[in-house]
Amino acid sequence: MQKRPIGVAHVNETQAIALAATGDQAAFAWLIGQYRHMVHTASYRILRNQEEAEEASQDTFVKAYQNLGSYQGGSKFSTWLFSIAYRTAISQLRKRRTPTAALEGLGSLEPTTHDPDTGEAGDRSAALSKALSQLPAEDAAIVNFFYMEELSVEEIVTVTGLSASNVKVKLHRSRKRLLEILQHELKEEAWTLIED
Amino acid sequence: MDAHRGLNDQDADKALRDLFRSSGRLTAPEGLDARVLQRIALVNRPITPAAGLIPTWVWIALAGGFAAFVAYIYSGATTDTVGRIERVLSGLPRFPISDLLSSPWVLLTACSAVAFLAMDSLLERTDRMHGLNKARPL
Repeated sequence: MQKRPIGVAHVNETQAIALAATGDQAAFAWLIGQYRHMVHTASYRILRNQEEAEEASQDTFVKAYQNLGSYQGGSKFSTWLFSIAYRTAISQLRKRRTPTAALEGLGSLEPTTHDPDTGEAGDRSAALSKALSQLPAEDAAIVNFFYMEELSVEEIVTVTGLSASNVKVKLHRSRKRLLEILQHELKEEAWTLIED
Repeated sequence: MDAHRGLNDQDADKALRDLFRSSGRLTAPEGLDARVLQRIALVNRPITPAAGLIPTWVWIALAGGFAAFVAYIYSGATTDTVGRIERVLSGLPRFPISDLLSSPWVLLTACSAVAFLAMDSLLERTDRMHGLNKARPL
């Protein structure tokens, strides 16, 4: 059982990072709680496989814990964490592509969303997942950072290490592709709701 | 302007952002936190960048000294540069290789070092073959 420091439930993010950097695991557990869904979603968008996405998420948090000392606070903690998650998942994807490319897609049932929707909203969610799965892994991650996590192009550049023009081109291409797929997938009424 | 349903880029961005927001993030697997904590318990503590063994001011002093040495060598008449270098070098102690190798103790030490390095490399290879030295890559 981890020792819980006094008042860890009331700390803010900066304090939790500072505590975790000294080896306080309860503070780090608090940070995991704040970011687990974000990190898992980013990993899943690249790997499209539950088990691999979980492994990548675990690796991301372990690496983050080990390297907390090097986090200077120059960027947002989420951007720093996304950068680790992105690189970890991309590297795992490259490793997988070499010997076992045929396994891609196995066990890749879309996991449930954090705030599950039902009915029409559920249809839209399913259509979005389907659309995202048809984009290249890197582009799906960039789209997720831009639309879901609302990162700016500059932040995406920091996270991915790509150039700003490359990110913009990928976003433009992905948006066009997503709209094509969604238009095909969604019923007319549902699409009207989105436009509203 | 985007071709799809007459949406311009801003409208398309807004529509997609709303769609992402209404879909929500994916749920992390149950017990992810516990598994991460289990792993970091083995890691023990975060790696904090270690301070260098030699402080920065020493490096600056050494660089300054070296720069002064180079300046000294090249100062004055350019034709005298070789003479200055020779004068500086003649002041340094000399250890001729032939003298060193003539001592049996030096030869014995060198042979022992080679034997130890060979043994170390052999043991490391054996460990790797048996997976004893396998560190989880992060």
